[in-house]
Amino acid sequence: MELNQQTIELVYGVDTVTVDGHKLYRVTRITLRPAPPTGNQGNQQSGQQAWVVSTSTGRTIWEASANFGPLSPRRLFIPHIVCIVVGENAAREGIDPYLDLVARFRGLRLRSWILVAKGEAKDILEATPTMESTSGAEIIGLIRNRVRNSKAPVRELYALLNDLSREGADPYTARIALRDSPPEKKTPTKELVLNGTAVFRGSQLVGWLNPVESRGLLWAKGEVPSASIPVTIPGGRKITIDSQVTGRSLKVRFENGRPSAYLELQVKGRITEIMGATAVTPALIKELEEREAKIIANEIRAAFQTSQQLGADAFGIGHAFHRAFPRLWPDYRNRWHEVFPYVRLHTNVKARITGSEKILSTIFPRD
Amino acid sequence: MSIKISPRQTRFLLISLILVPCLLAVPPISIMEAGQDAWLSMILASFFGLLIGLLVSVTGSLAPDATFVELATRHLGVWLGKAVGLVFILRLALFYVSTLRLFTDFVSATALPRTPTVLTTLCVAAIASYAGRAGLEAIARSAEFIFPLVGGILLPVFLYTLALVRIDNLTPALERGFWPVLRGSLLPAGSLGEVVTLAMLVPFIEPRRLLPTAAVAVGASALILAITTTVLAGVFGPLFASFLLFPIYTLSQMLSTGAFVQRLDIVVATFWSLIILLMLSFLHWTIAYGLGAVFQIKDYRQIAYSVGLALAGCSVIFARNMVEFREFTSTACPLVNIILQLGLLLIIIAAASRSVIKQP
Repeated sequence: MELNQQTIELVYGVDTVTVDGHKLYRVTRITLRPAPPTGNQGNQQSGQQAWVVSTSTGRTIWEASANFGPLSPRRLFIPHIVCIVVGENAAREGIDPYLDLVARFRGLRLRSWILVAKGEAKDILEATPTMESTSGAEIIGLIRNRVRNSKAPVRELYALLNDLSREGADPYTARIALRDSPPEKKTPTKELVLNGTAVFRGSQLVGWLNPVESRGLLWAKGEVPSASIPVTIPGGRKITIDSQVTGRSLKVRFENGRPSAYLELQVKGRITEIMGATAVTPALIKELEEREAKIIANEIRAAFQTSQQLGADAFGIGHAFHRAFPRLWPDYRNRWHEVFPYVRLHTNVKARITGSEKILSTIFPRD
Repeated sequence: MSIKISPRQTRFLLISLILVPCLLAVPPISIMEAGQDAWLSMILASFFGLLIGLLVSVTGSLAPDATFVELATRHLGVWLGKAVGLVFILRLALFYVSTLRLFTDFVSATALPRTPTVLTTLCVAAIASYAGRAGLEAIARSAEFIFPLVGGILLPVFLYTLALVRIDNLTPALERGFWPVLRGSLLPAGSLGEVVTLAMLVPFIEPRRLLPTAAVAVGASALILAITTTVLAGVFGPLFASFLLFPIYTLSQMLSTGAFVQRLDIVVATFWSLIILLMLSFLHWTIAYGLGAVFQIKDYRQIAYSVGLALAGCSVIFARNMVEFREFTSTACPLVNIILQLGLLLIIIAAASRSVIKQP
């Protein structure tokens, strides 16, 4: 098919809706509006947006996509989809139909990201972008930029499929939501925000982790490339440390007849900000390391507790247990979700501060 | 025989013959049986391949101037010899037909879903027949060019996927015991046993090079197969990996570096097609040459195109759909392969040894 007969889409949203008492799948797409030869100016002159958001429904996801045919003069070029957003209701009913489709259809790539919308995927895709030309590009930008604070564990489709096919591990991925624009903005709109975690039990969404808990989960997984941690030191001053995980091990044991998990984490960081007159001394570094380790351990504990309350093993403790005790696992396989809430997690974080950007102690104000 | 091909050319031909169809179909079936231990199945299967290689070199030492079919006629009498030779060639034909079908299904599933399978089959069979008719020397020379080219392009692509392996997908080891590993080794054993085709090349290579050539071909193929199986199970997890119809293609879709090195699956598919054509051409030559010997046709070239057409027809009617095809390749095919590969070689060696002993 020629390029001028196609249109490109980047993000694909799926919801479930009820129409006349029948459950239907609704797909929402953002497609780029082909610009006239004059480029963007042409669109601006004609007063048109550079993108089109359109929806279609069907009894299955594939049928819903096919029903888009009569609504579009151009054929969609699917391999360019880089992100799939699943609506909250659809995720609560189970994501297995979507995962089957992406695993099966040759046009979709397993390296695409998957997000769960707080609310409907359609609303997410219809949001007005703040910086990019389309909400699709905005979502992709948010995903790429998430590493700055590591509060959104965005997963690729193959990783989610892998989690779902494992025994003793429940899938999770990042949450995307809408929030009110800042009050200083002249025309109030809804802005996209990528933080928090959608936690599944099997293939069904059972709840959320807040942004701090999400980072706790990422610490435990050893997947934090960068995280800003403000540490309060005696005297009330704050020092920010930018940290990353350098090592992680998870071991499971039996204690008093019940499984316990031992998580060891090595974290490396550097001072990025000191608020108030402070001399950086070896004693302060030691103090900072201890406090940072405590903060990280608390974040992990908070995430683990919420995960236990939800009855979903996003930490993959069951999988570790399966690998460590393969002969005992058959006894736990079918009742792991009942056992998991009683698992004890022991966390040992070793934080190390190795640098301080370009200066050590604060220059201003002087004591 | 005036034509001789070098050991290197032979190695390239044999590795293509073993590995190319094998990588398209075998790992998921072995992973389904043995889970994360499927790599052990490949190592286990290599012993069978080595045994077949050893037996082929024994036949070569018994009669360095005869192909398997000629050796069978010489030592088993005309009719029985021809019957054994025909079974040998028909098994190779089954291998050709299943590989052609696998390839056309692959093309249909990944690139040309609306093109009639008959058309794809005829095109591929026509190229293979043309190349097969050109003779062994031409195919061997092509192998010397195509094999390093394809290997050089595909190797870095697959090395990249090593970074996506999750080690925890590969444990616990031997969770279900050794029996599933053994079951998982049946299909790769049949594939590695395809080194038996070397018995048709005996007059064309130096007899003392037979065993090293077979050993290197089997060893290299088993190693690549074991690594690929490990990568597949490590990246996708054993359960998901066992469901993949064309694992190499799905693996190639995983490549994504930065925002520019992406969508290399089409490159992989193109070069894969090239090496499959080489492999089918070689197999086509073997079948046509063998049939020529069985039916005492003066020049096998006379039947090259008709054999190609017949094989293409068989490939189309071979299975009604992918489910039937996969059912056959995972159940009946491995046993048929193993029994025939081993059985036919043993019959010939026994008969030839008897003749040698009888001679004063």
